[in-house]
Amino acid sequence: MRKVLLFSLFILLAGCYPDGPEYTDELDSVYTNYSPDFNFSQTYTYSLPDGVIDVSGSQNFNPDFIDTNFSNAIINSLRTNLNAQGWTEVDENDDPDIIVLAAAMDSNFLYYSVDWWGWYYPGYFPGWGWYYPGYFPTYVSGFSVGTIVIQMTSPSGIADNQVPVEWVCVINGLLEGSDAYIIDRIDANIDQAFMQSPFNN
Amino acid sequence: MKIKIVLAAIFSLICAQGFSQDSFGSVNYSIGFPSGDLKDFTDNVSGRGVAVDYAFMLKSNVSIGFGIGLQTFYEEKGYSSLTDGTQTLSGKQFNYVNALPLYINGAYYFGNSPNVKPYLGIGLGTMYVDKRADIGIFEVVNDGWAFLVKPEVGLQYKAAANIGLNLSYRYNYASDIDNVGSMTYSSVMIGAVWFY
Repeated sequence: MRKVLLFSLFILLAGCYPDGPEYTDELDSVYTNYSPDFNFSQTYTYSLPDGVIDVSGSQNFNPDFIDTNFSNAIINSLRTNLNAQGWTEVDENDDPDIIVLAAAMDSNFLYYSVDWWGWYYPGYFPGWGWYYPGYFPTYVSGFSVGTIVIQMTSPSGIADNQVPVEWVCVINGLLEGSDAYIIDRIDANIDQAFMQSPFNN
Repeated sequence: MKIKIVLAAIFSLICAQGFSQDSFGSVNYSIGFPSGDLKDFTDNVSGRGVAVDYAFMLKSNVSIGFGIGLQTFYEEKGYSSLTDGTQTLSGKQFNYVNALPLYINGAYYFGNSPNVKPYLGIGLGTMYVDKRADIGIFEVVNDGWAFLVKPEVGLQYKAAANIGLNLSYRYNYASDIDNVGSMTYSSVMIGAVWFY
């Protein structure tokens, strides 16, 4: 009798494990933060680099671009969303109001350096850093998954070698599935990042 | 501190068992119905619960005992955005609560039927609550110990000399825990009883 009762107890306890995410895209998340002083209702000129740099666990200052398919998907999605705000794309040497930078990594996020963008950023000098005017983004670390970091910087606000980051977005998800499936998720998540931020709201 | 008091009480009861003449144990399947803060966090009825109780008769119609339970609540909240100041985190949200009540029990049995015993009980103890909200690979975890008061109404049916059935309704009132809230729930229990 006791064996039957103990077995019943085991079955009951085994049944206590609840459900959870079943599909890869159910683990995607979008984090955004912004400077409370930045005027999102205004339109700006902006520049975008040709590609998304790969900073996977890298500490060197000459990062590569990520796979062209994913890089194009991210850049095109950013361009579509920024143009939808009425912003105008210009060359980085044409004095843009905003410079948008995108990086991706597929391992632990150790640190994120301005030096990685020295090849692109107009007027760059080694030793520059970031600053987040009026806010501080949650530090992201310890992931073994795909992460895209997008920063919207304002070159006119550079002071003491510090580049102001007006808006930051961290998109996180598992690197699983076909390229087309990952690109669909990238598009949807970048759209969500713009939707949950105060652009033109 | 609460846990020490409950463990001391359970130990006392085990020691006191030598003076008892009859005792019984039970294993119950528990269906949990959330209320209050718990209902806001996970609205679903929980079919994932179990309780194990042991009691001995002080008199023919009064028992005292102890028990432990586990009830797991879960709700898939869908795509959600959590905003705090200028920061927002979006993703599909999954909420979980594991409630583990640990208590001492007293019960009074009505009627003179040897086989069917309706009863009223009251339990006091503590409830460990583990509350989790998952968005993407992020997890927000809060936990703590609540004070537990557990009134109960039920029916015990003695089917044979040493085996029976239990059917009862419990109200598990849990006090407020910082960052968790009050994880109060009701439960309908059905289970097996064995008599010594």
